[in-house]
Amino acid sequence: MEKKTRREFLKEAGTAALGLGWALPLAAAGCAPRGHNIAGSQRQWAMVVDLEKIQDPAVREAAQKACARTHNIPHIPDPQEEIQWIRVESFEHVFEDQIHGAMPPHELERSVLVLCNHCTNPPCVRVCPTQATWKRESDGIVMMDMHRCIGCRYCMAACPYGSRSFNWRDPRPFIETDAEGKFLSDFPTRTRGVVEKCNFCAERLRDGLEPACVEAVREVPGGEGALVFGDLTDPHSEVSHILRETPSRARRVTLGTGPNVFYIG
Amino acid sequence: MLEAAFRGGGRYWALLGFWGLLVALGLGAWGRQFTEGLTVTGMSQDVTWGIYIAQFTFLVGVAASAVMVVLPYYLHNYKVFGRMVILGEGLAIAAVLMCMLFIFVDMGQPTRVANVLLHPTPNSMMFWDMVALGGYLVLNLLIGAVTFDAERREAPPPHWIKPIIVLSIPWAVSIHTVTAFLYSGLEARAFWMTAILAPRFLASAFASGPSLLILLALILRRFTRFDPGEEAIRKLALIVTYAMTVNIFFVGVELFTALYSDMPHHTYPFRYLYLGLHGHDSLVPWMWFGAALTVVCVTLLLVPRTRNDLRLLPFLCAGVILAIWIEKGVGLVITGFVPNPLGRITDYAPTGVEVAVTLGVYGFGFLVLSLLYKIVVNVRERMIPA
Amino acid sequence: MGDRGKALVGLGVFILLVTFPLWGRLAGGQPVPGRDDLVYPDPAKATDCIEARDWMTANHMNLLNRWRDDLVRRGVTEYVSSSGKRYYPSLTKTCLDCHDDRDKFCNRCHDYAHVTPTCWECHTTPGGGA
Repeated sequence: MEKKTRREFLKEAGTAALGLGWALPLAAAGCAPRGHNIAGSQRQWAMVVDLEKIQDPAVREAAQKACARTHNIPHIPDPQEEIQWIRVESFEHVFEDQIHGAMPPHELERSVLVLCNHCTNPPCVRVCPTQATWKRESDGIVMMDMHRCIGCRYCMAACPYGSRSFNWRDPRPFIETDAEGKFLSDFPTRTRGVVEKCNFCAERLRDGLEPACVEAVREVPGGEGALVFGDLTDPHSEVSHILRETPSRARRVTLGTGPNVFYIG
Repeated sequence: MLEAAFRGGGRYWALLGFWGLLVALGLGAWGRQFTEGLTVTGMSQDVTWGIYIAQFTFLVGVAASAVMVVLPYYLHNYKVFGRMVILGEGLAIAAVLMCMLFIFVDMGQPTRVANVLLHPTPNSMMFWDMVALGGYLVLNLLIGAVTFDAERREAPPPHWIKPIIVLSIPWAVSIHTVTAFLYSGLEARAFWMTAILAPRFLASAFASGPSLLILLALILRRFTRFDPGEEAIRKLALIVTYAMTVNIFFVGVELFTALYSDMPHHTYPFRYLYLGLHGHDSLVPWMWFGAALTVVCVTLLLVPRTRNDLRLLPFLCAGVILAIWIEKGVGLVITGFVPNPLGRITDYAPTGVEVAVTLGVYGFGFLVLSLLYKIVVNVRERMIPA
Repeated sequence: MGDRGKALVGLGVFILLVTFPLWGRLAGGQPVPGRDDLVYPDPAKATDCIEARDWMTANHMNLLNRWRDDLVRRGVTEYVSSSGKRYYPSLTKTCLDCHDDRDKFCNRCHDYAHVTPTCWECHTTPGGGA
């Protein structure tokens, strides 16, 4: 009698337990939106890209070149291994969810500069198993710790913008050097097997400088204001002012990631 | 008991030698990958996961499917599976080890693997996957060892193991659920972001895992004096039939939602898989072959006369395994990256190095499986009255 | 017990193999390297390190790891030493100012200790030297 009762109990317990198979992962999923490194930021750096002004190839090249030289970004010829922090794509690819059949070809083919959006709710940070990428509370930059990254590339699967690049091989032989064989900057190069992306020039901000691309486009005639950088939480910043006064757009906003790179013009 | 693994005939050693050869091949290839970087693989900035993660996904299913023999035997006291349970647990152990190795060989910085445990991150599904897989390995090792040892001594297993066995049941479900959540929680990838992914994974797992178990049982029956029992094999075939039918239903549900709503981001992956998208059609023959295989196998499995024909059954099981392998090991992972976030399509095919590493991992898994099964067979053969 | 001889031979071979680093060099007639004396940076640049010399010799890697996490992860841009001096926590920008020759100040001792820190895979000397 007693034996039967226990078996009955086991059966019921087991059946109930089977249904609980989802519980552990779901509890984990529940942690996600309020994970410790996705807290609200005190400030939020943001960028406004003026599409009119970056139609000049000289402006785009200045931005890309400054970025590559500042961060020792390699130039790997194979596009499928290329490291890109700031790249040029056509309007129809960048704003795929905002185009329609009646748009003229010259609209669709406009050049757009794309970079990491330093999202308010970054999916890459949510999925990273080692906190090698995290959202910095002090200024909202989505940071990368190259020492911590294990190279699982989960962040690349999670990023809806294709903003991340993986070092498939040792990048050093592909980095520009001067006549003496020295790199153009002492920003650490990366090693094979880690993921990298735009860091909004966190190292320059620390020294009170603007991001390299923002500074570089200003030097180009007609490039003044092509890229504007500032604090979105400060209502008096230039980016806040522009976004108040001018119609703007951002990439794939319906996903809820909260991109902080905006486009006008 | 363990010494049995080191005593065997020529055929046994030849089998171990073959697996060892595969392991050596894989190690050599992985050495090259380790020194040169993942550039030696076919993966790219657009398709960042390839054959390794795909095999991992397939094998988590095989590992989880042990629950299909554990649950009936321990909870419903279904005695027919008495000699099958230990085979299921052995398969689970080998499969989990292979899963872990596939994650390891996919890493860009394998020497930093401990970072996952040094910096535990509960909001990452990858972290939970590691926890779930590690736990499942420990559970199966413990349950397998304790119950088998009791059986060898012809004594009932100790009472304290029962709650652990009960725990292993939802745990099996959870390893494959977490693996599905790894994909289905990504808003960036429309193909994966579907609630039915976890149920689909489980259904296909409960078809492919037991199929593999049937094949292994038939092999043991043929080459050793140990017989897991014809009725057990037939019952497993029935489980495969149900699971495969449910899997087809789930795939159909998925297809309807994508195709009827006709939303570009939901239809592109299916067009890429079955028709080809903008001329990219490398997976199309695979997918249609898999579909045809599924239809043929399910039809023959549904008919009791063909399902119960033990000469036909191994072919049906091999067909089911291959069909699920194509679904999860070929189609699922790569297609999630098509098109990329900027609307472009990049094809992926594994390189020789990747194939060699993959074979090496499988070789290691089957080496472990052979050793475990040898011990089981040896003990069982001795228990059979001469 | 018939395997006893085999087991003893196996054990002997095992001990021989694992102690190879100890007797290998001697057997090969190679000299056993002694540790070179530490060299210190030009006194014109500095006479004291971040912390006490002996402590730095033994623990510089721990300090660097701490600096790394401070600067990269916690945004701490200043290190106050036990003597109260303030430093910018950076290998390239602080340490290498005085320790300006990697062979002399890093590699010699690392080679001796047979450690291969991965710092230089990414970090450069001031001015971008590889």
